[in-house]
Amino acid sequence: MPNSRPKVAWVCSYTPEEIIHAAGFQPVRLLAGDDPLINKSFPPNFCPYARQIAQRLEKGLEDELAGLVIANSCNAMMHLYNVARKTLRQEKNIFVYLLDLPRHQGPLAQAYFFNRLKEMSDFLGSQGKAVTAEALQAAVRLYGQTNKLLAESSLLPNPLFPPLQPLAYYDLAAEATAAPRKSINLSLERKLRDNGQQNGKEGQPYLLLTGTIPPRGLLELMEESAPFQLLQENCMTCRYFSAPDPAVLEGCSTREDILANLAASYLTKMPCPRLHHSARYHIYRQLFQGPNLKGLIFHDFGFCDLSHYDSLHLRAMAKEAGVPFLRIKTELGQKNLGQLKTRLEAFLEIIA
Amino acid sequence: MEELTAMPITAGIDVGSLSAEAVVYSPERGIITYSIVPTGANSRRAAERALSEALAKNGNSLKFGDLDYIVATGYGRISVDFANKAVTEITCHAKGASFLRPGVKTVIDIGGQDSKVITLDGRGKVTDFVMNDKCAAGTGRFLEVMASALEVNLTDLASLSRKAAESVPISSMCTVFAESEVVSLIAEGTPPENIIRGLHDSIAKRVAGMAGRLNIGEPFAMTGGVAKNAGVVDSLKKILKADIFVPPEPQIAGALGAALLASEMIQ
Ligand SMILES: Nc1ncnc2c1ncn2[C@@H]1O[C@H](COP(=O)(O)OP(=O)(O)O)[C@@H](O)[C@H]1O
Repeated sequence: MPNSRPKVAWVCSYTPEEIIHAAGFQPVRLLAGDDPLINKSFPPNFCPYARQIAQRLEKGLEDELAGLVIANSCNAMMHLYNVARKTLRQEKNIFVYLLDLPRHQGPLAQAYFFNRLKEMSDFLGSQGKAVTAEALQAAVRLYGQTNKLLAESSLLPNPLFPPLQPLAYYDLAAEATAAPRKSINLSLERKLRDNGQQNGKEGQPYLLLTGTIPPRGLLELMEESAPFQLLQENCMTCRYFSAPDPAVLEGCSTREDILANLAASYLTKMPCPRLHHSARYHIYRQLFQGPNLKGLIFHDFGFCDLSHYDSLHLRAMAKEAGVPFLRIKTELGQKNLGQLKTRLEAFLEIIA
Repeated sequence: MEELTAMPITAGIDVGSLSAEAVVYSPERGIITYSIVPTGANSRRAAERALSEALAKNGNSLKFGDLDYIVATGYGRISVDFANKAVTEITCHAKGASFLRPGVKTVIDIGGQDSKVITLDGRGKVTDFVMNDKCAAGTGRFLEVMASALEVNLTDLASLSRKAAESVPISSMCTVFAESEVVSLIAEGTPPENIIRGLHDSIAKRVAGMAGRLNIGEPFAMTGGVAKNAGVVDSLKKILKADIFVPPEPQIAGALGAALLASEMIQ
């Protein structure tokens, strides 16, 4: 009865869902809702994503959770952890676990992350079922299958070119992090079989969207007005759909082996701006050199230092490479995208 | 007879938040006629009214059917279903301004609800732009609210601010707070002209701040309804330390740009 697994939520794509699943839970991702923001725990000039999540916790919208895993990916997440400890753990006895993340790649970082994952497995095991090698293996197969399906149906091995349109890709990410994975894999299989290999036409002009998770409305706007295919690099797309290939299990027999492989694989996935800058910027440098990138659009929801620095860096790089750059700001919960439409269309008129 | 009709006649319609403009244009005759009407509640109807008023001003010697191509712009551009194409006001203001002031490199457009700074390549093509966020600070609407708080006419703001002995700094940029700040300055007996100068300076400062995010260069031009307020233009000149070209009718620059683009599109 996979449907009746208690739910454990997570908030950062560096959280191995495999471990949560192996402990007998169903991992679900907390995505920002689009409620108007009030300022109870956080001031208005604070990460709107953390504010949205805190608001959901305070309103009791996540009370059906068995627990929450917060990866310590930035200061805002640390503050969110403090709020969650109060609203979930103290007041409702829902567990809240802090997963520490390294900031670097390399053997030391992997060893560090491996130990954190071991701790997390022990902790989740104590709350649910013991995390065994068999359970981990099954979870890695289950979650890796989604990426395998996406990768096999893509015409290009590059994870930026998924076989789905931007909105479908976004919706898949939202669904995949809410529903039991088995049913997601089945419906994805069906979808890909019906569509065939679709997206990712090499040699054609494209726009790249990066930055913080865009509101769905922004993607709708872009699909509507963009004359080119749209690729995305963010936590709803390639940074998320990069769980380890089940092949990493080969030769793994112990729980420790599997966790070490998970640690390595998470730290070498499509990197986010928080980790290993150089690797990510290297990818961008290559993209900028290609002839088909027509423009880079950076989505920012404000009050995120990491994404601010990232946008400055990418803007400078884009400028140097002669790639048009547009930074657009939205507020989570914003319904009126009219002005955004003008910005986006004016940008497209420049590059047309 | 064939030759007379060979040159296309086009129209550009700019449906803004407060006013809608129409410009009828042909390459040989230039701006044939134009109009400015209040937008009101219905964008499509405003567009229709603007166009028919422009045609009427020209003695109705041209009819709707004589227009070869229509481009709509402004925030209501999508509602103008009788237009052949919609283009953003950024592209259109750039196009219109560089027709009125050839070689222009920077266009400042302040309308009713947004302000924009646009950089151009010197040949009418946009290279970059910034737009204010959704609040009314630093826009025409902001000045309207302040004018009514001061109980003066919008059209008198410029001449009053030129009489000011000094500029009173207005610290709030938010319309709501600035309004109460203005009200208390009035209560303290601050001369209205000094307050008005302060308001113009605060708008100029904000726009210059936006411009600072771009690679701006001279020549400058200013378009949009607020360019009719010479007080804001004065403040901007001072803060940007540059001359600013203001066309005789700055409010129609967007519609003119749309008509010019229409003319290019049909050829
Ligand atoms: N004669 C005038 N004197 C001073 N300001 C004016 C005048 N006419 C219009 N304005 C200013 O222009 C603004 C409207 O600009 P406009 O470009 O028509 O806006 P929109 O394009 O949003 O409709 C008004 O809010 C007002 O501040």
